[in-house]
Amino acid sequence: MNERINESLSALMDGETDELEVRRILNQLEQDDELRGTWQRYQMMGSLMRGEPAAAVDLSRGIMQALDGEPMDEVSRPQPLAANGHKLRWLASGAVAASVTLAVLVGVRMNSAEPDALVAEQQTLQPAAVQLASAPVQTLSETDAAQLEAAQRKLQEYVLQHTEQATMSGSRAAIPFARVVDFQQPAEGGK
Amino acid sequence: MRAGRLLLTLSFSLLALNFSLFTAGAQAEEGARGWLERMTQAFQQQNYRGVLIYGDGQQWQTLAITHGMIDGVEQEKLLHLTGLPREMVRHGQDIICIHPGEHSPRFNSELSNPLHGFSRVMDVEDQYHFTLGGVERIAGRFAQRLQVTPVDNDRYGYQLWLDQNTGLLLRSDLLNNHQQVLERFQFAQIEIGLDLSAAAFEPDDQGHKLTLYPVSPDQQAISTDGIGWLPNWIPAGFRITAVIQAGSPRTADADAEQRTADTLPVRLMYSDGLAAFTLFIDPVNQEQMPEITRRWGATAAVVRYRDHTAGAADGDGSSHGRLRVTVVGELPADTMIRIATSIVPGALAEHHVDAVNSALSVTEE
Repeated sequence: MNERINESLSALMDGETDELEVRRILNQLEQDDELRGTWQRYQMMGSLMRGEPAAAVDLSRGIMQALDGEPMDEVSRPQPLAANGHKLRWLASGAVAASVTLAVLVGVRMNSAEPDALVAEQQTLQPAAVQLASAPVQTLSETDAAQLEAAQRKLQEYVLQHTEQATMSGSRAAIPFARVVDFQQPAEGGK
Repeated sequence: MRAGRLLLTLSFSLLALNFSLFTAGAQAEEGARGWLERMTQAFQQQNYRGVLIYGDGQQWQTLAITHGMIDGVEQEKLLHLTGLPREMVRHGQDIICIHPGEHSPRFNSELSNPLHGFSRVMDVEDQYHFTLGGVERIAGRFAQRLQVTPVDNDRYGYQLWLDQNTGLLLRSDLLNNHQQVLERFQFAQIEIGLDLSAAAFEPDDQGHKLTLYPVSPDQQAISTDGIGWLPNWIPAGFRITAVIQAGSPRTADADAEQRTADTLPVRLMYSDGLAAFTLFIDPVNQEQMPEITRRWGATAAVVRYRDHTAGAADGDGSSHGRLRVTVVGELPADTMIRIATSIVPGALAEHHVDAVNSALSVTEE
């Protein structure tokens, strides 16, 4: 029995299982701690074999969602509870805040002149002008292009200032502390 | 054996269900508040080390984070595992950045006046509903899901997953009004409550040091008096948290002050306790740039222009001016456009009286 499950797990990792079998295994995983341990080891081994960093990510929920046709990036909206007179006072203490700053600063750095390593990536981006403008911009004189770039830089600076400030004033304690780390993308595209 | 255990678990659940039905309403709301408070504390006080994933569905970053308290000082180390190697170490208010290249334009900016922030206690319950969800596994730990639903379309919602034992935020989804995830951050692996020595926070290389701007204590006076331009509309529940007008509009002559005030750049920050936006109002002369609406994950920016007649209040209609209004924040673009297009001379703004009064209520002289 156990042997068969192990085989199924292995097949699942290799993507060689049919849907019914997958559902059966995932149901078993829900109920059996030992089996779940095995599953995680398999995942980790798989990651290592593919040369990925092995992190203890549980894929089972994602697989189940996919099987059920539930889009992974959408969640159902629950009925909110009626307010019962209690005031929920949010203590804007900046708990997450300081951490966010770190990430923001990391992102900021990417705006400065960057090595050529990123050139290949830049080429796949849309032209800066098209990215930037809400209305299509057909042809740009050199002056216009320079102005546009200046405007884009200014905008980036404002975004960073906003994020940094929001962080420091601790007004958004619920935000992830990695926000704006990927902000370098438009900066690179703007070069 | 297995059947017996299962049955036992089931009857316990039924018992718990019965019990919880009595007090469901009160407990859920009470519970959500408790979880939020735990989350806030955990982030500052817990020792933790882990790997987290952050992104908006198109771009994903992986970061390693170590956080702890050593001798009462908050320590943190953040390392980018994807892209160029970047590292950040924080000791209390000091930050050390390690990375190739120069530092940001933000710190070499001609805009040398940083916004000065104020932390405030906000009532968030009027703008959001809080609902406790189920328990799910994140980063190998059991996490309580907390749904944060906005009451209107002028702000976003969240789904938060908080560690059952410590309250630490293990995953956060920021959701737009179509329930699509705009931003997700999630620990892939984490150790909580481990012993960390100062060595864990040593930078791996030489870097340069930055000092964070200090945050003023709660209830500090915030006044929009004398600010040249203000929004005439902001979403419900947003209060001003920071205000700055570059240069000094304070001159002896009141007329001169009026003329000066509407030619100075203005920065205003507002928050509803969870979301925030910043308003940048810059007098510009001949700038002919397209109006912009852009979004990076959760954060969006809107740029709008507004022509005006400077000094209209004095009856001097000869000088025409142009304003560039930039709104940056974690809000729906429609809402931000509405804010950007509502800018009026400070003296004419309707809502600012209310905002100022509430900000000044404690410290007014």
